[in-house]
Amino acid sequence: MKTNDNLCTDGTNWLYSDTVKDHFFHPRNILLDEKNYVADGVGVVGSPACGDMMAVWVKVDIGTLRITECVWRTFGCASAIASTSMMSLMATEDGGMTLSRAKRMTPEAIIERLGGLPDRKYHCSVLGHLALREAIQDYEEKNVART
Amino acid sequence: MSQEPNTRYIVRETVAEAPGVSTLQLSLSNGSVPKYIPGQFITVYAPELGTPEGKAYSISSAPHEKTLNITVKDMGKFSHYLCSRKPGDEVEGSLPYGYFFSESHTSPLALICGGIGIAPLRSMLQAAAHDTPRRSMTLFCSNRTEQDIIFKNTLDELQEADKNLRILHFITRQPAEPPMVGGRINAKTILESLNDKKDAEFLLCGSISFVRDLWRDLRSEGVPEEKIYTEAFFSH
Repeated sequence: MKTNDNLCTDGTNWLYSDTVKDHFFHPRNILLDEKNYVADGVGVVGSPACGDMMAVWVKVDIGTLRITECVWRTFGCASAIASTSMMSLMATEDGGMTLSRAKRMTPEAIIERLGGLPDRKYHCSVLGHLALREAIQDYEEKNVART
Repeated sequence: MSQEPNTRYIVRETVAEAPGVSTLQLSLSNGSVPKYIPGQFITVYAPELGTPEGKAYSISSAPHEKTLNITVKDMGKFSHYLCSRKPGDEVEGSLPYGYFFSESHTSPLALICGGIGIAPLRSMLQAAAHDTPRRSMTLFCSNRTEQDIIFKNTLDELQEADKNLRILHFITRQPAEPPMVGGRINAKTILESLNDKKDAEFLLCGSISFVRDLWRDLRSEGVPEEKIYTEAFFSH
């Protein structure tokens, strides 16, 4: 099958890559109801009144300090859904990222894995990245408080 | 929810930095400034313009300075509104927020900016001159013309005062007179200019395309992802 994965790699057009479409239609690690979900760290950024909103919950292996679960929910557009889905995949694949490595995840790395995003949708990848940073910070603050 | 409009700043002074670029010197009503880390931003709100969402502006001052400064390029309705603020005006914003900073206090830093992307890097340079003057830092600063260089006098003074700071200016749209360099910044030039490539961290700031292209270029030259921090600006 022909792929269009490089169609928006320079950020100038509005064609979404196959990877973006896949993650939008089949989002990974989405959490629809957090009522019974016990997370080690939570990050919430944005505001529904102002546009997009993003919440990320992480579970962390206390021995290895690797992210074992990264789930999320957003009030946002297709790009926000696809980029956060990809972010959650990157954070947990191959045994999970260490916290120190996950803190260095950039929007550019997420967009690269998505096969590009239109420049006007760049901020969508920032939301997931910031929510993950907040979730890690929340985990670290709680664990400093415990020691 | 750290980006909520929960803080009222007073404009203490405005300073013209370069054509179409102004710095707003802000403080709280009691004259103090909130705590921040160089590299962070505040989100500014102007509901009177009909835009409920805020716009992020990097802080260009350092924590030891008396005011919290944002440096704004007049390029759209929102930024024009900010650039036309006068001393005594109020600006609604958030507290400082963001993660565009190295957590190390010792790693050599390569600070790479295009145009107005200098704003958070000025904060880092001023803070380093004040707090950690021995840290090795190299600034790679790209502008269209020499007249577009923002904070030129400040940068010259910082370089004069600190032998561990090196500044390389790149000029893309007019002939460059040495020591300025003609053409665009690229990863090869950055890496060749660094004394300690192995431990260096790279902080990129500028337009979305500037940051994306240099991020890719550094990666293709073998710089690990975790060594690169990015902050991309959109037009407001």
